[in-house]
Amino acid sequence: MTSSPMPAPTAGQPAVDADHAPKDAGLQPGSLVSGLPKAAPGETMIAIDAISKWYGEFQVLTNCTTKVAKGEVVVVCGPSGSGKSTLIKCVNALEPFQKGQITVAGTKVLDKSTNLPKLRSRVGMVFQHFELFPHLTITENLTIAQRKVLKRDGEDAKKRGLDLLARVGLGAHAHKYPGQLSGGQQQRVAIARALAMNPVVMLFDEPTSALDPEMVGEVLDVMVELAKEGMTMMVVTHEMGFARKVADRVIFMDRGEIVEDATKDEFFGSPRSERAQTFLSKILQH
Amino acid sequence: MNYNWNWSIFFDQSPEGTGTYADMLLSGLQWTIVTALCAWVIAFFLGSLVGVLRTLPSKTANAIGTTYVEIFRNVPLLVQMFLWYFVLPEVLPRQLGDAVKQMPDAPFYTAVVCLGFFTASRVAEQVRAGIQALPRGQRMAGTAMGFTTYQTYRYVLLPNAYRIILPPLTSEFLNNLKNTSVALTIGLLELTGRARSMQEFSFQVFEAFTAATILYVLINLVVVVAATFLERAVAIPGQR
Ligand SMILES: Nc1ncnc2c1ncn2[C@@H]1O[C@H](COP(=O)(O)OP(=O)(O)OP(=O)(O)O)[C@@H](O)[C@H]1O
Ligand SMILES: [Mg+2]
Repeated sequence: MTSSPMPAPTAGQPAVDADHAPKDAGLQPGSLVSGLPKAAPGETMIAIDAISKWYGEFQVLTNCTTKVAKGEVVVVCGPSGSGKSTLIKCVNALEPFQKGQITVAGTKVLDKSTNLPKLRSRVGMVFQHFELFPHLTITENLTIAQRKVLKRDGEDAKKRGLDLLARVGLGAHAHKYPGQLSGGQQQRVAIARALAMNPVVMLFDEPTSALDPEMVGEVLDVMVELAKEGMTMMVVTHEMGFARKVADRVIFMDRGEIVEDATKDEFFGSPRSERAQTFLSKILQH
Repeated sequence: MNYNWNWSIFFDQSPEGTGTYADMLLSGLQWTIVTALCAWVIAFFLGSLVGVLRTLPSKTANAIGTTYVEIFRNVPLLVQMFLWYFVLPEVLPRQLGDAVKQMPDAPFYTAVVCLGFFTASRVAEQVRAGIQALPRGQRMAGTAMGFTTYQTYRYVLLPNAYRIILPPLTSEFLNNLKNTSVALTIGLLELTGRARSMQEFSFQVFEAFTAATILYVLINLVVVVAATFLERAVAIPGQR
């Protein structure tokens, strides 16, 4: 959809030609996360309890169980079709599942009395293809859900949105439309849009795999910063550099099962399963 | 061919005593436009609703939408016109049926409702196609932000779908405009009907229908130009 090569000056550098290359300042100092509810460290934010899911006859997820503690960063990896996307989409009930239970910040996902839109508004999600709303300006993209879902006042929403936009280095692009930004810039806006809702958890589904290689860094920078600020994150990615840097745990999936659920050091040091070893050696060759 | 051309016929008084033949045609044009616009309002909103039903995950909603489209799209418009005008008042409870029959301008209201419901089935198909043409992730993104289904359609899916289907919607609007002529069979005094009356009164068949043709072409032109402006006005910067 969009991959117009656009130079992305790195932090601190002034844009070369203000008219032709609007400022893209990259990640800025300051806080991305605010208003997180204070909770005891180690508190469970996402509890995935023995979930199974079928598409008709085909079982996509088999008895998956794991936990993500508050402030923890969990990387999910595995071969294509192993169910990674499906698993994280179950967390905010974008995909229904038939067995088991998921609890997010104390709220059961599979429960008739759960207000799903409300639950989802507290779970930020970032997609492979950004999924900004193409007919809205960047500012409107950042504010629409704050206004329509959280019922925030227009000015407050705008302030929060623009603060975050500035933080991801794109303050100069507020008036533009998504189609006028590069892929990396769109993805940073998408992260800001999710953060504008003050989520308690952030989910990422291969946030960098649709990007041209030179734009991967600018998006990972933002995610690393988020992790450092204590955001609880579940990240489907094959960026093992990112996992090494900030992950607390790594989950390896294959054919709908969680094959390995280990601390980062265990995973990279001595993955136990043969399947994980094969997978790792394959993707680390690149 | 033994035909007496008489282009000044338009300035003769029509035997109806309500003005010249030109006035007669212009009043027909007015009925055509008003009928088309009113029918379009029904077609647009009802069609959008039915189109949306066909894109919802619910099986019931789908079935309702599909049934509507299949019925109203596949029964010929002329038959629908007769059903609404002649049959419906008979099957309604006696009092209601009589009230409908005695309604002033009954052909107009009937034509509006009939055309509206008919064109709605065609609009519905366009709306459905437009929504289904959007990337799957857009619906997911809306839902993930916490939008309800209604909000996802209202703020995300429909604004994009309408932009995509603006050209086919324009041609549906033009079809709708032309289809008003079917209502002459139930006595609506629209443009084609008036051209026919003029021919019956004056025997100047070529002049009457040439004038009608030119008027149809002119409104078509206006619609096409307006649609082009609309398309430009709602175009999204940076897309394609
Ligand atoms: N709507 C669907 N209907 C039927 N099968 C589906 C559907 N969506 C996904 N699947 C199947 O479920 C399995 C898991 O899909 P999923 O998208 O979760 O994999 P993934 O691990 O995210 O893969 P990738 O790395 O390619 O994104 C795949 O085999 C896929 O073909
Ligand atoms: Mg996937």
